[in-house]
Amino acid sequence: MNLCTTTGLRCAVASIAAMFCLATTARAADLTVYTALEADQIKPYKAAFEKANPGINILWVRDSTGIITAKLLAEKANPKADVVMGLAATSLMLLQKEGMLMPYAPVGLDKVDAKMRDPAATPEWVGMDVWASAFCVNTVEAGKKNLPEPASWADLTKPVYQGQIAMPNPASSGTGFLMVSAWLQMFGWDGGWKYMDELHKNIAAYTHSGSKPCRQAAAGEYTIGLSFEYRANKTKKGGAPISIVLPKEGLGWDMEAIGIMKTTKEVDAAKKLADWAVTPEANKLYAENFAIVALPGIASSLEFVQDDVDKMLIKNDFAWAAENRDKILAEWSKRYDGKSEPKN
Amino acid sequence: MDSTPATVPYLRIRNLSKKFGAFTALDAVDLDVMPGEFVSFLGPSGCGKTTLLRAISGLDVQTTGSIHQGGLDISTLPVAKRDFGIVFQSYALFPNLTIKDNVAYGLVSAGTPRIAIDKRVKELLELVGLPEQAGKYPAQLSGGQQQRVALARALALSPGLLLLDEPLSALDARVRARLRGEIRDLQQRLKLTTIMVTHDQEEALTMSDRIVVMSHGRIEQVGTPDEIYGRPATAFVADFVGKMNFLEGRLVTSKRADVSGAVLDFGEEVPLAEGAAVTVCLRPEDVVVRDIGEHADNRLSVQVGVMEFIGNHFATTLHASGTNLNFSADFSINAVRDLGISSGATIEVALPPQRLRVFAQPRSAPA
Amino acid sequence: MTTETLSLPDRAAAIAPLRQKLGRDDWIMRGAVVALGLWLIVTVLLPLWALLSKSFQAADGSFVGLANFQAYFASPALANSIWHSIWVSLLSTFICVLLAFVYAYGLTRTCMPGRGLFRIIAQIPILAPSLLPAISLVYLFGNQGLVKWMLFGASIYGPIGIVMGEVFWTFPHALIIITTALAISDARLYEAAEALRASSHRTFWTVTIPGARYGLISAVFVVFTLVITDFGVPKVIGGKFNVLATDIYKQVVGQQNFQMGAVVGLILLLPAALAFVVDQLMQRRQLALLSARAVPYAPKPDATIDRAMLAICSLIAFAILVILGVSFFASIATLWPYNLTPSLKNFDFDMMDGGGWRSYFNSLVMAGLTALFGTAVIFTGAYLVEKTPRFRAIRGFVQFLALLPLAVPGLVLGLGYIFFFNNPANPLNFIYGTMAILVICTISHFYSVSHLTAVTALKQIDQEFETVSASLKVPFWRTFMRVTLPVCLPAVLDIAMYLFVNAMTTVSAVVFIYAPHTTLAAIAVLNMDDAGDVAPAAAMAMVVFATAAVTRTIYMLLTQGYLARAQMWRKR
Repeated sequence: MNLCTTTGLRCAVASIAAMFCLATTARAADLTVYTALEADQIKPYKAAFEKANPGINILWVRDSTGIITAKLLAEKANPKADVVMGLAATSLMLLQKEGMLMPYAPVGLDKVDAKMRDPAATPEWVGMDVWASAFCVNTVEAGKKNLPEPASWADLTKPVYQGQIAMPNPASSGTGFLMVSAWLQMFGWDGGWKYMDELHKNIAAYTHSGSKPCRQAAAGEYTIGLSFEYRANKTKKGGAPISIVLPKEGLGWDMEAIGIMKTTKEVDAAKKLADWAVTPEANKLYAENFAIVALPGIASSLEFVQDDVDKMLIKNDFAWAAENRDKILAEWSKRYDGKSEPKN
Repeated sequence: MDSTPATVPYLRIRNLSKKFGAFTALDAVDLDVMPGEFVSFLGPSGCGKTTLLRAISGLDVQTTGSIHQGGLDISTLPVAKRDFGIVFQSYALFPNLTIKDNVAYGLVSAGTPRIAIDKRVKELLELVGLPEQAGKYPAQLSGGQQQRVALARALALSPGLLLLDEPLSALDARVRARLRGEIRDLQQRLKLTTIMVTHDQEEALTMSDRIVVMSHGRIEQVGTPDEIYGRPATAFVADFVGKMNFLEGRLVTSKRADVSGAVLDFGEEVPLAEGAAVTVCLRPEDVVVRDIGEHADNRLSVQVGVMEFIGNHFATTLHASGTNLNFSADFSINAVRDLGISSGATIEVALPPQRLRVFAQPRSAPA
Repeated sequence: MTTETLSLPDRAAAIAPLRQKLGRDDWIMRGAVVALGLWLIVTVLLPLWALLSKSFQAADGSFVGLANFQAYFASPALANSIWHSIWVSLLSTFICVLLAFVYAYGLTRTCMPGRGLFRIIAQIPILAPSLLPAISLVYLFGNQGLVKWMLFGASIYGPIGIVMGEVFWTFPHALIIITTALAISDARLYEAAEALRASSHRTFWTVTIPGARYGLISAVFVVFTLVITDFGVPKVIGGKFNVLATDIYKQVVGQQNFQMGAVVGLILLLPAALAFVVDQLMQRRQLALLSARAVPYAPKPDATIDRAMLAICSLIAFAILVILGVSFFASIATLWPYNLTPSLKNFDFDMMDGGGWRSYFNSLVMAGLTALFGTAVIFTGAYLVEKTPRFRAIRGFVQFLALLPLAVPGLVLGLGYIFFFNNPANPLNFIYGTMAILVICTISHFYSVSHLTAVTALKQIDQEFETVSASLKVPFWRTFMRVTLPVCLPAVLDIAMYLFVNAMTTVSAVVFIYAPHTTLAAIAVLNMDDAGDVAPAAAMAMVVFATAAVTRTIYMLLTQGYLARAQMWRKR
């Protein structure tokens, strides 16, 4: 209040002026990028890109796959995003169907694995890496409760695991959705739902985020967390008493991909990010987190995950998954929504 | 403004009315206040005296009518454009400013040079008798002192008109009595036109040049304290100012009435038909008990009822023998002692005709 | 002041009433009142209107009447939330008010030792986001909880956790109201009861309870509103138990279904508005009790009662400290519960969701600006509404607008802000996604309580200052700066403190309108918890708490030291 030593009127005018000053922050080369990448991944990506492209500043809007997808669709009339990066390919295909993406062939597209991009000549999205499902099993708690380590999806439905499993809600989490999509493709539509009915009996909580089940398993809150290999690897590296299991029937998986919003006003900067995303430098960064990346030959292996992730991936029909996403989620919500966390 | 000849009123109020919704707070009020005059607005709460003051100050503009101050039409001027100083019952001193800063408050804004301000403040504090208190805060002064500071502050800009809104009501009796004299004295020295709102008749009677008695938004009577007390124009005034016996009766002739069996003569003719119902007003202290001649007018033989010792006099109730007339009378201690008046005694009293006021019934019943 | 009402046109008087010419002060004050009114219309009324109209629209903006409401009630999961919200709120309210009453009784009516300390401990929950107790409860009673056995196999995830968390979080609010109510009770009634040889039991039921009844009722409604509109606690610990507040969030953030969010928002507005009306009526009556010239009650020592109250209050204070302490220890443990070596790794917020340390500094900036501008706008506004001569209709309307936010849950206000400010057709669209909108929204969210504080302070000073100033030809703003503001300084600082602490801890309104570069600390707590980073969430909650606590302490020292000197004139 001591600032207002002048007359009340002058003070009021100054205050209002200051409020409006706050409102007009410079955003000359700011690129708003919507992403579902993990918070601990985006920092190095941002640093590397901004170093290679001085003058462009990435503003991340980060949330779970389902939320970022819903947000993009909801903002269709007045999109805020310039680029979508690190979102599930199935979600980008939805945006593509809505006509929200700009076709663009990044420099160096020819080197990208043909399976890992929009098949069109000038693609609307290009893959970055593959992420796949994994179990995190808390060995301390499993030992205390005398639980055998599950080896397969089928094992999870055994009554012994009742109330011991956390899994991500597919409506909000991309990791959750790729599991459901995998079950429906592996076991068939009816078989898949039957499997989930059985699994549901053992689920203690459906979480909002795909990382949370693994972290909860790490903290012993639940014994088994259905999550994905990056988080499993990272959590174990952090010292958590978990073992990482890749279910033997095959792994659900999805691609993280990048696409440019048709409505962006920062076309040049957006294209630069898309170009950067397919460079070997970028792919080397992806490879620190994931076993399979878009450029062949850069693949690596994760410290605590067995080597054959590549071979264990199921045959995944992305077009089918994207096409049926709404239908699958509606059915899932109808059957199991009661147990999910508030945000889903 | 002081140059205005004394025959021209300083404040001229014409046909002033104020309505709050359906309620009429002021009803066609006319009033002139002469330069240098001390006028009190007297009446019970809700009589319109405060509303009239607020119209004069511009705090609440009247619904209709006009106000001229010093020849200038101020009817619709905002408060800040009018020329008055005001003192409230609550003093309204700024608690966080020293006495000096309070008094200097208006001077600083008027752009008066610092030295002139200091001189003026000193002068004003001396005027109200508080020359030593300039550095103190209001809370460190007594109520009476605070009210004097408020007065000094109101006088600082030498206003043409001083408004006092119940200025003494928050003070205790002793301080009040002293301040009455001081304010009146100050007003006389400065020859400052002053209007005071009060519900206290003693205050009005002791301080004012003229009193405006109000009731239900109307002026009942305007007059000197003497006139108001001695010759109330209406039964309301008669009742509100001082104590009064209201005796119901009927006119026998234009100068005589039968009051509950007693026949009373008046000093003046009453312009009413014979047999008309009248109220005869008699102040208790006007009842004569000493030196009553054999043929004194309105001589009555009365029985003394209750005798209340008030301190400087006795208040008694009397019953006129052979009639239904009861009334109260105040007797001095001397008279009671000398004449041996006591409860149950029968004594002779007289009601001087020129002291009786007669009004037609129904009188407007004052509360 | 005469009792003046709005003058109705009088048909009898054909003459138009006189109108006073407006002076410079009148023009400025009226202009400022109108400006304040417009400000409140833009920052409170129009967002609510946008919310209301959205609830009657389809996703594409076409009018669909009550279709959204029908859809809402057709979904059993959603409609169930209403019932969940109501019973959880009722239960929390009952427990909280009961405990607060006992605690307040100990503070005001007994001579138990340590009352000053108990008072301070009871204020702790106000300084933390509501997410903090929920996180602590997970550590205490979750599957790995320290004292999980105390729940006898029941799960903390659900109504039990929500009720416990809400009781903790709302306790100080109830305590303040009830303490005030008990403190103003008239000692003469107790003396009378004693003289009549009433048993202490009878005195309690015939004197104590009736004397505090309006305070109790008011506390019930305040706590009920806080609980039913809070979403921090149920979000963290509600598990599969859905309530209205989490439904809005779920609809809007989770599914981006704004129309349904608007519907739930309106449903949530009903109980809050009702509680607001009842509370206003109660407070008016409590004030009426206050105006009597009561003799303050001074408790006499009574070993039995004092010892019993000390035991109970210690238990409650211990619970508060435990809940705070658990979050603290969890935040400095390397990997709870397997590796309890102290470490600061959970404070490395930059590697977590929620925006990192930047969120914290954003929060500091946001809270600072809210306190600065909010106090300036609200106090000046309250002054104008109180002191502008005449102009009654407009002033009354502005007063109504100033009290309106009290009836609007934060989530509902935040949602209204999305609808109103994120509309590209709105010329104010440019503030969307900036720090300014967070500041404006937070000021609006906490406007009413601050406004009432200012009005109370203004009513306590002499009503004739303005008249005296005008008669001395001093402009009103000079008197405002020179007299009104200094005299009301304690209230002004109170408002600034209130705004700062609430801006630091609030989640509900701002959760919908923060942008990537304006993430806030309390929201980071939410997001980290969501991603499973519970320990870092606890760490950030502790950082927020520490900031609020330090600020509060500095404020106390300042007011005791500086104010005592600057306000010499208060002494006799």
